[in-house]
Amino acid sequence: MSSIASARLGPPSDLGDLLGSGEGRSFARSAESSITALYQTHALGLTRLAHVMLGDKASAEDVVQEAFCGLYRNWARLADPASALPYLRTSVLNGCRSAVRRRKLRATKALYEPAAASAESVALTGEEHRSVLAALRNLPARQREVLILRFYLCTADEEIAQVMGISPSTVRSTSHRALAALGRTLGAS
Amino acid sequence: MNSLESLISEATQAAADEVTTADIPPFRLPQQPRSLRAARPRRVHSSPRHPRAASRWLTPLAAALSLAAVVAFLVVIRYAAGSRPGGALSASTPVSRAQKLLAREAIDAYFPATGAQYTAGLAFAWTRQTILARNAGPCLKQAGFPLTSFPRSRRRYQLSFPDNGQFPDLAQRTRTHTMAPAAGGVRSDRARPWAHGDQRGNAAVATCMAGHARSLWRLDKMARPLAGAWLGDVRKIQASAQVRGMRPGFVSCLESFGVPTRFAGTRRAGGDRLFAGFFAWMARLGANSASPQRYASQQRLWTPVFVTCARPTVTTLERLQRAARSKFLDVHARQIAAISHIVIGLAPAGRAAP
Repeated sequence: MSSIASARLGPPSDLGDLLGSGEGRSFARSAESSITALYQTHALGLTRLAHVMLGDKASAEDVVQEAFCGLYRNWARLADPASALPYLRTSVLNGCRSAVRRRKLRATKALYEPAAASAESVALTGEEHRSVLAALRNLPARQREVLILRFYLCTADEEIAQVMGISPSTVRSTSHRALAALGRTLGAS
Repeated sequence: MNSLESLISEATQAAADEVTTADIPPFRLPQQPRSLRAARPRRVHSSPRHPRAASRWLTPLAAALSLAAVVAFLVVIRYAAGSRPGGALSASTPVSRAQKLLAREAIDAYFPATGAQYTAGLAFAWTRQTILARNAGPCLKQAGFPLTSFPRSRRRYQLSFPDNGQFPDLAQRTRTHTMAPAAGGVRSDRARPWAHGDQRGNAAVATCMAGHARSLWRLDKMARPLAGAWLGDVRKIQASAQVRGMRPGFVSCLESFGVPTRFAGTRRAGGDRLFAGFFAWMARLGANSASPQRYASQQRLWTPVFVTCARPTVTTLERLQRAARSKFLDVHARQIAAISHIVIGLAPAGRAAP
């Protein structure tokens, strides 16, 4: 299922009726202000999510910026403003997948590498954390995303299903397989 | 949640905490999509266009001249701001890695959620103390409240103030095999940035800081009330049923290592509730130790026990505190940004040798 479908985007609205009118301008202004407000509220959380996925702040920022730009472009098609966050999460996951794909094409490492060797990062990302994150990022995309959404965002299975465009039972079975694979990897290392 | 799940949660939260509000760039709106672009009203000329040919080039020339004037004005303003010594930090001032690090340490100092963050925050506490001693030290001495000595080494300062009750740094305990690595006569009037001394001393500190260390004074005014609110949240988490529910496991773990039940089951020792059983036992060992060396060897023996038995509780409470801190920092994003801004201004002086 595409990201847009999974984010409950409705059919195209009657935007055409608004073109060229005062309402058109106010619609654009309201979209701008709504998205800016959404950005102020959710940019940090989404950047953190992308950073957990990618391990790279700059790429995480780009992915989130692109997700908000996508939301802006599709704002008129968003049936329910409440579905903006699931839409953004889906976009961020898609963006992260693309970023990982691009990295693999460039044959660079996709392991967790702190941007700066700060006291915090040295202390927090000890060897144990590094190995867990590295093992997480070596999982297939779907398994990785399910584990991160479940254990980082503490999201319910139904919500994960909605964001990823899969069924709740698939979320549960994927999570089970991912945990088993992760356990094997960490046990072996 | 089993140990693997806890580990995933812990590792991902730790990675996520690396991103702070200071890292988030302002939102750049893309080019408006065609569908959203409102039709611009065409300019309506109230009078017919002047037939003179000059109007063809006069308008673009005027526009170009005014643009050049604006650019020149901006260049002059920027040059003037840049050449002013000690000028305020502008939005376009590049932030160095050291400044970013100090800002992060300051946020950890005021709003720690984990033992590692608490320890990282002590690095900022040391920088703050160094600036305070250099700038306001003579004034405080004159006021009758000389600053007590503190370690000249940042590393030693960090090891001097472990907080094993509220933010135990298990990694540090594991590395050092002691509960208080650099304790022993090292004291400071500001062990924690939010600590409060007596009223007269505080008044003297405030007066001298306002006069001689104004940035620190502004920082304290802004950060301390917020830090107090955060520590209130931490206390609520540590008193929650979820964390308290882990106490029986901690007590039975201590007992399995040979701590007598009457100590392991103690509910309060030295103001600490969470790990009271262990501290009651250590107090007993300290009282019975013939020498400081003997007590140090007891610590080397028992610190790994603390690390083993406290780990499940610490993992749970750090997970809860990290999640709460993320929300707290989000809710107070503007104040946090302002705090970071002040701290960034301290960095060049703060990193210099005291």
